[in-house]
Amino acid sequence: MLELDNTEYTNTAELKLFGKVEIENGDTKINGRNHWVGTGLETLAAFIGSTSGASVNVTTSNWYMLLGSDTKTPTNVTMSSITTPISKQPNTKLISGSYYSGSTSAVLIRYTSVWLPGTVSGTIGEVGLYLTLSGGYYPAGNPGMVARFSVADGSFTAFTVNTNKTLNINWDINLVYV
Amino acid sequence: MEEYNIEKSYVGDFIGIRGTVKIENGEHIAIGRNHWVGQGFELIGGYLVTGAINVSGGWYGATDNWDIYIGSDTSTVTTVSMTSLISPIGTTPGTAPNTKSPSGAYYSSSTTPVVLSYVATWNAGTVSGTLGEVGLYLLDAYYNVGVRPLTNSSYISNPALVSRLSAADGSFTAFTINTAAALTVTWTVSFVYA
Repeated sequence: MLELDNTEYTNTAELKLFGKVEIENGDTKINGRNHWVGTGLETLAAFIGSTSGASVNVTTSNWYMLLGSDTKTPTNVTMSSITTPISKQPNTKLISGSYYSGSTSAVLIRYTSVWLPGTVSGTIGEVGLYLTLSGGYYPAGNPGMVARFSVADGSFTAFTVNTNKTLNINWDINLVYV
Repeated sequence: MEEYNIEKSYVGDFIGIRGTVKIENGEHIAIGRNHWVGQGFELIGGYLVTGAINVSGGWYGATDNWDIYIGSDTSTVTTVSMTSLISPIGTTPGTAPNTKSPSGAYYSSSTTPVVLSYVATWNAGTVSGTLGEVGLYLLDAYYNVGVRPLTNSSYISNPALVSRLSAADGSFTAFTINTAAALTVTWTVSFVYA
């Protein structure tokens, strides 16, 4: 069930974009905030500021989450990928939510990835959200990491994947007035 | 190009999107923070899903078609449902500026602030009266209608109001335009970590 987080709605002088990540794998349940990297900020600015977009329906057709095992490297603005990837492709992925605010509420976009039991294993210490970039600077069809969720940032505690269970990640991007 | 309130110094939980407007008319200078309206809000939300605006098979950024208009209203505060200026100067949506140019770098090299700047200039004598509101209009897939999938090809070429600076919001003090001098509006949109 998608739940809009519009608790910070106070006035319209500024827009803020933030991401919340939920991980479920058997008894492991994690919730936390992502950290944005430079590419996330730049691609958004590129869309607003450019006259030309990409040649394909970029975000919906080409995005993914990447799992990683690093637990020591904090996120920084120059980071363009997760530090120690362990898997690229989930078995299923989905975008849901609404980007029509009805003029009064927050906007929520949910990116969901599901890895079936046995698909991935090892320690999960970081997750990256990769979206296809748009705008004048970036070429089409080239997914880049826009945000990272990591143990090293203190966002969650590392865990070992229970390979008998599905690993499910919901990455919610909230846009709110502040 | 001037930069305002840049705080890109760390990786944070938020990306903040701010707008600052500078109005110059002879010796009169006013600076204030804009208020975003729903169409601007939805434009960004739609981007997160589609990555670009689809117009009859082509893909565009929001600056493909943009404008700045001015108005005389001084009593109506900005609301998220607002889709146009209250009292535009000139025929709706307003008198177009004589010159306009967007600028800025949206590639930050990870260290440089990301700032876009939209500059519109009306020549001396082109507009007159009280200036109490200013609107930034950017390309939108739909214009002033409901649900807006950015991939929809039902495109209307008019740009849509995404943000407003108004005296009624307390963002600046209304003034009478000096028709002997040019009027320049510089709308700076900053993307910052917050």
